[in-house]
Amino acid sequence: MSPWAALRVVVIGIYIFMLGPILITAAVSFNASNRSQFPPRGFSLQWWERALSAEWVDPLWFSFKLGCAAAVISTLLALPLAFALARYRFPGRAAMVALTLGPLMLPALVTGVGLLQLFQYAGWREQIGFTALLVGHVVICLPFAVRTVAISLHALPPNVELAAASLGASRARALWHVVFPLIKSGIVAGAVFAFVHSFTDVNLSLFLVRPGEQPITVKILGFLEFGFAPTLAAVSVITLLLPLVLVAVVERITGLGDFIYGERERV
Amino acid sequence: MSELKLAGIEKRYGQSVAVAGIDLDVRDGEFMTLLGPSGCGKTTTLGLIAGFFPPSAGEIYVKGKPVAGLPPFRRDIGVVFQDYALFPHMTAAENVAFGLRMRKVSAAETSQRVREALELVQLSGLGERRPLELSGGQRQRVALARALVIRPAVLLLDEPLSNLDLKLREEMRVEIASLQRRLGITTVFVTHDQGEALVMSDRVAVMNAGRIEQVGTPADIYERPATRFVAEFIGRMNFFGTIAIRPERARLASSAGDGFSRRGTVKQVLYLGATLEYHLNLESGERAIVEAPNDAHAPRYAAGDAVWFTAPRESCYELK
Repeated sequence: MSPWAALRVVVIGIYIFMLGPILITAAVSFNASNRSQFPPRGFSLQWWERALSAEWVDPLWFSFKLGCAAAVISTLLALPLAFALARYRFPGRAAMVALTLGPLMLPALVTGVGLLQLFQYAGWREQIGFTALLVGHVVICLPFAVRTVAISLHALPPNVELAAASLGASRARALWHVVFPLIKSGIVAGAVFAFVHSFTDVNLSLFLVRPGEQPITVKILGFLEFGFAPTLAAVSVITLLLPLVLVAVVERITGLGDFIYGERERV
Repeated sequence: MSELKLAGIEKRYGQSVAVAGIDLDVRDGEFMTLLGPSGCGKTTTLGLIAGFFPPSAGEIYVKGKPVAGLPPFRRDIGVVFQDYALFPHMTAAENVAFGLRMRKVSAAETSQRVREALELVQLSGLGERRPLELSGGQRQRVALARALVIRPAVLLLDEPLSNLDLKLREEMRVEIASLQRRLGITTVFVTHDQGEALVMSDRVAVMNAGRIEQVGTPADIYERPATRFVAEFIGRMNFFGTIAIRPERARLASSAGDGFSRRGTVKQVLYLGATLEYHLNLESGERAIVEAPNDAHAPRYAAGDAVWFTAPRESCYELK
């Protein structure tokens, strides 16, 4: 077998391994029987009907709002942080790096337990739910946003800021007219990563929910106690497609792929 | 009056000294080159003039006004960078227009001046291209137009030719120099290439280890080098103690001459087409090179021949 043919087989194998379970899940959601059988028996949309009821749409919508808020806040925090960390050497920088990237190494579960205790001891029990979840999600999303913004700052062509300054642009105007447009796709990529990370998180969220304020992942996990009904298959497909569609739309608008695959315009 | 004046400029980074006290007057409309090996402080000096970082000591005057305390965007200085530093997200015309936008020049005047600037660097019709869609030479012309369009008091060029291939580099040398003279813009050009420095400059400041070794016309620094460093760095040189003799000013002869003479043998002859290069071992133990024109009537020598290395007195430089 030629190396190219071998590579093709490996790639196809990886795709089957990644997409197989998803396709099986999708197929199961169309079962006519009330057990999650594969291959599905008959064809019905009854599970999809249930999946689109308020019981499931509410947590989905909750997750969507939470993801958007976490993405926006962590990206806004990431901008000045990435600038400081990428550009300057200052006392306490190492500590700041560790604090920023720490949640990446720490199991989100531990962060969740920690936040739960903090909110309880601090007397913020009322805030457990959306607010506590948002705080937690910002913490765990921040490393992704900071990384991507920092990478795009490092990838900035050298001297463009100096060139802008020599042409009469103050620091603020150089940032606005030159730096910002050039790192835009990095910022968007950071926000998208943050959203996806928030949307798919379950470990941290488990500890900070309250009735009526839970993300879809926690809802799915809770429902699993009653077995894997085909409803869950339909919900899973929706949960999977939502971030995918979002990424695709953002990619279309901003050329996100250029950032992810490193195909930046360089001069 | 000098258009640009550096007075006792120093730049230190902790213990290390990048620029160790420079005084330089650049006259109105003059093409001044800072020439030196890498690490001699020439690019740092350029950055200090542009205001990218403050000097540790000294003052810089543009048109008689001190500017050392001003940020770059208040200095009225145009810069062409070695890597051009074009804005990749803007078209060539937008790049050129940037400095005018920052100066709040009206839209009508901006488009007029951008068009003229692109014309000046022979890029008419390419204004809508992005830097990525331009060749290296075209990018450099955009960078030049972008720096010139703001009509700065001083134009700084930081090794702008070093990223071009040889043929283009030689073309651009002549083009930039003639453009500079046509516009009469005071220019400081940084290079490590002595050929560029000699061809393009009105005057050259040869730099070494953060200091200026000599300032003079190209002929001054080539024919009357003030220090051993200058003599060695510009062109090639035979050294005999404190006496220096250019290979093309020396002769081979069968007997001693009036001026400087040393006996030796030919070690090697290099045939270079227009010239012949003789490498000699002298009896004094020194080595010497003679560059002789490939003249049909001149006597030819071969390796092993016993010869005299001679040079007329006026071709011998006494070095400090």
